[in-house]
Amino acid sequence: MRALTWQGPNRLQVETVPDPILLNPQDAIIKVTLSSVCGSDLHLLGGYVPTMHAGDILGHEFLGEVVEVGARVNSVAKGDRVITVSIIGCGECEHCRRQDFSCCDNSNPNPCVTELAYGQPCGGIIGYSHAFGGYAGSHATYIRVPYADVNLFKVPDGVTDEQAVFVSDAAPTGYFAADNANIQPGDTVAVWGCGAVGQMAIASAYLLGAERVIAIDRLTDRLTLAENKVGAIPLDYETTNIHQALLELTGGRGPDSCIDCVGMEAHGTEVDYLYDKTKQLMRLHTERGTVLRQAIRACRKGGTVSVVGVYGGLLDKFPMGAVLNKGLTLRAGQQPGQRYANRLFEAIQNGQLDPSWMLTHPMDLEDSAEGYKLFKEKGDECLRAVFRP
Amino acid sequence: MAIRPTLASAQSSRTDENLSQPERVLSVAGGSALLINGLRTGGIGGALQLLAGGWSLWRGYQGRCQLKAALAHTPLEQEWEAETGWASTKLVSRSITVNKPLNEVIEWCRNPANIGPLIPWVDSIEQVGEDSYRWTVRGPGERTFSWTLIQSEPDPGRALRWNTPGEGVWQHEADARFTEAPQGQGTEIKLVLATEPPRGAPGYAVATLVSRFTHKALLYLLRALKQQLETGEIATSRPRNGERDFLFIHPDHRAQADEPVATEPLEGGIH
Repeated sequence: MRALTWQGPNRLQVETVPDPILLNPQDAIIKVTLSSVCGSDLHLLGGYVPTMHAGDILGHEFLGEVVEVGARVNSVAKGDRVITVSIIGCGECEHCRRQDFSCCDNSNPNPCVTELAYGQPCGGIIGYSHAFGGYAGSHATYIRVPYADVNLFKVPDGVTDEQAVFVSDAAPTGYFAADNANIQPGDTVAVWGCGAVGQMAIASAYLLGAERVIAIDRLTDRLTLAENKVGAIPLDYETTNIHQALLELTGGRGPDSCIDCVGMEAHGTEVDYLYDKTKQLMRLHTERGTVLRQAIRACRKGGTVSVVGVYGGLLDKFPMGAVLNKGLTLRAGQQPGQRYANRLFEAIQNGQLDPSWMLTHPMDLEDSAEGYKLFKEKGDECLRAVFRP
Repeated sequence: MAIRPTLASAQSSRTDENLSQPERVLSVAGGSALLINGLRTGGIGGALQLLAGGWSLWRGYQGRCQLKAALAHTPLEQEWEAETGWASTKLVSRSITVNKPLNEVIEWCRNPANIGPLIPWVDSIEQVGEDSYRWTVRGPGERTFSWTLIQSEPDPGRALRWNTPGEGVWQHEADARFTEAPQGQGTEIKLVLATEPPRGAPGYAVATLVSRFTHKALLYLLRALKQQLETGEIATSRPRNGERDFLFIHPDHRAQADEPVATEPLEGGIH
């Protein structure tokens, strides 16, 4: 089959690789129909996440058709149109039983790296480095999905492929961010980052009762989408003092909830960005924390900061004093999409949510390396390049 | 009141003096000699002597040596030696919680045919007596090694033990303790591997180095056990089953208990 493989930092190649096979009784093989880029792939692409090996297949947000299932798979059958939640749950460990699928104990076959880095082994993620299991990704003709009954969801009638593909990752990540943000009716929510996850976080915040959502980015086209497609108040951080603007918009209180949809490669205009960038280039730390610092500083006293932007290692100059003295709640995590997939499909079916407009650049898998270049460089107003194998 | 157990992870106290008076005198004298010679010699060699001399002098002055402390037997190892009479002991321990009832977990663990397939380098387990099993493992260079292990249940329904019989040179023992996890989270398993390294302090130092590998191997073993018991299969991301990796860089669990769809025949288990 054909697949997009990582060959080294910022080097991608479409090549012919062996087809996947069933290895365990709960596996399924999916013929990929659509497979999307994701902002978190850029951390892999740039070499910021260690334990990538040359030849690893990228991609974790996809839709496809079931072509083969293992002996213990019951919920899907050959021919079903399905999406896969990118963070793998086993469905049986204590975390999965609590619906915290992204904390799964059993889905990562390579537990030693995350145990060393984070204290306990983390769950597996499709197409996301050997630290998270070494699973082959979805930018390929076929993909093997473990624990199919837990991680595959049939796409209901009335939901298009272009809508469904984002229920694999961007939509549940955004919904999880908003769900974690403790949004109450009438709240004001600030969202940093207007990529696909940020757009879904904005839409989800409204679904959960927010009165106003403020979107922060530097890319005019994305801010325009946030305003026109999901109804946010846009703020361009290159032309606006974000902290002052957020106070100005909230009567000096600050937003009730702040959501970081950016993560470790944040850009900024203030001196801390230059500091972070310098240390990152010198490999003295791994994260650029501009957004997280802004969010913590801006959030109202007693408010909640929700983080879904990906962080991988150590962050310098973390404002713990503000967290403590303002009584903030800090919540974070990889998305447990299994908790939200059916809820999101229902929202799509009843017209409350339509993520299909985020698919700005449909492309052939053979052109996927170019697609990543376009996505990384934010060229041609690319929000999501989605590949058809 | 909660009982304070002796933990496998507890080291000897870092504040204790661990050098005897003669050792301290020797360290100060040797360090002083190195400092004087380093000053006289100069250059890179002199600088290295200055560093070594300074460290030795400081070590003697403080009466404490980190290197010696690192090679000191832990409180749990000392307890083990007192109970068993072993001359020296190296212990490695790991714990895991399995989301299954205690009786189900211990029943499964009683059968060596279940445990063997979880360890990639176990070739076979052969029953040679009522409670005796011969474990054959494959090491680097396709060499094989065998041990006879006696399986017993020192605390019925709560503990399992596998130990080498008799008075051999290098004794081994594995103790697994099973307790109910709080709030219905299943069963906690605490596994302690003990070995009696020969040849005094050098043997203990070698066993300490080897224990780093053993600790990692235990992580994979207990994770595989948990996966098998909770999900009925062992997670893998390999393109194909059947490859070997002695160092656990890419753990390979070839055998599955529940009708695997594998590309190679199963190995391990009782033959």
